[in-house]
Amino acid sequence: MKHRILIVDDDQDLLLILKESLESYNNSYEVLISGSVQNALIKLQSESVSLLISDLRMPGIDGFTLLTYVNQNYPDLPVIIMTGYPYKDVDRMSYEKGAIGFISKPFKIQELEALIRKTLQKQTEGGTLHDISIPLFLQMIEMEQKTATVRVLNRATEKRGVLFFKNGELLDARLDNTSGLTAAREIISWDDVSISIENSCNLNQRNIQVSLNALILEAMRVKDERPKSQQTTGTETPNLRVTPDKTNKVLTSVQAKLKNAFLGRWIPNASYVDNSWGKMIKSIQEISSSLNFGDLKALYLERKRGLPLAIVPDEEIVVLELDSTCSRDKLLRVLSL
Amino acid sequence: MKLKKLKSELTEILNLEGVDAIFVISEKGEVLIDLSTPKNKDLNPIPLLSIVKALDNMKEAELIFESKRLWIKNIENNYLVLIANPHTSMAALRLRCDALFST
Repeated sequence: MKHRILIVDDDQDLLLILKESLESYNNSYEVLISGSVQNALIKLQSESVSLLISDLRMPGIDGFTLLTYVNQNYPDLPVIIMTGYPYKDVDRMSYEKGAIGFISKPFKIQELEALIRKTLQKQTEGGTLHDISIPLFLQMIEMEQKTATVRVLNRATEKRGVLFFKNGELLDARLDNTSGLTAAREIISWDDVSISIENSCNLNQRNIQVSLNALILEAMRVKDERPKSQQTTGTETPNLRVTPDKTNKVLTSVQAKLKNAFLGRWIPNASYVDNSWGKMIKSIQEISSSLNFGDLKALYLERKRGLPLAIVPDEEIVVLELDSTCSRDKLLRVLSL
Repeated sequence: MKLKKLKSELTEILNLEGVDAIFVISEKGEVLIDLSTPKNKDLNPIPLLSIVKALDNMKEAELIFESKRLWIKNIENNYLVLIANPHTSMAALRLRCDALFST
């Protein structure tokens, strides 16, 4: 899947160099360029973009104004600021205004590419799912009270939509130039999708007031009323396996351990990276250090709601959703090796 | 079950191989039962309540550390905390404790 990156700068030569260098550096990047903020806004309305990189000082509307506009209207779209602005604290100001990355000109293309890669990886930090029923997946998010930005790719039409969840509540949705209920209803009615999960959500305000169940029913009605020619099939069997981001070594390593130990006879309902457990793990580590228990290797957790989980703290935190057929002793032994 | 009888039953479990300590702590942090083997008599149960609090909304948890294994179970308004050697087989211990608290 191509990541579409929009770069905004009034320096045409630099734009062309960046486009050529980034696209040849990584063939999963498709770079769109724009010489002004006004032109960038038009592109944002017509193109689905994964990342925006913008200069600050430009004639007419400046980069800070673009940053503010993007945060308000495209809260899922990460922005990297690149500038040769000579003033102190410009990086701090960029972060305060919502940029997720900052790079000072002049820079090496490798530095910018590393920053882009890091930013795009965050969009799939919770894993990527294929061939899943969206309603089932959303009910799982609600049940688990997860906070996430969920990006949905309609593989039939190549359209991309975004759903914003905070503590299991659907706050908002965005699809092309629509948002709220209209966008959510359309996204939920899609078949044949790929879903990527970012374990955070930049929104706080709720723009969708109906319950998720009511919304799912409404989306199913929209789907049923769609002409047969626009419907796709083959996604009726729910598949909750989370496929790891290929670059996520920690998750891949845990999955390999399980495969070796259980010889494929048992697999978790789902496995994914969820670093939102970091705060809890850190608290436990601090207390256990005072008791001289050593590092936490693995954790089994059954809460008042939701499926039992096994959590493996490492450079990243891997979460496994368990079922009743799992041998807990064996699983914890394997995970703590 | 009365506290005295419960303590006596838990002492039997403490004597099983691999078990280092057993505590029953109330939600308010009061240590109701404090049992440990002579080797682990200095184990302070108070920080354990902080672990319980960190495990928000927990019904049951099992934590494997480098040198210890912790099994925590929420029983009404109290927490049973069992500390064992990290390689102890817990299934039988859990079953025994579950049976104890179900009576």
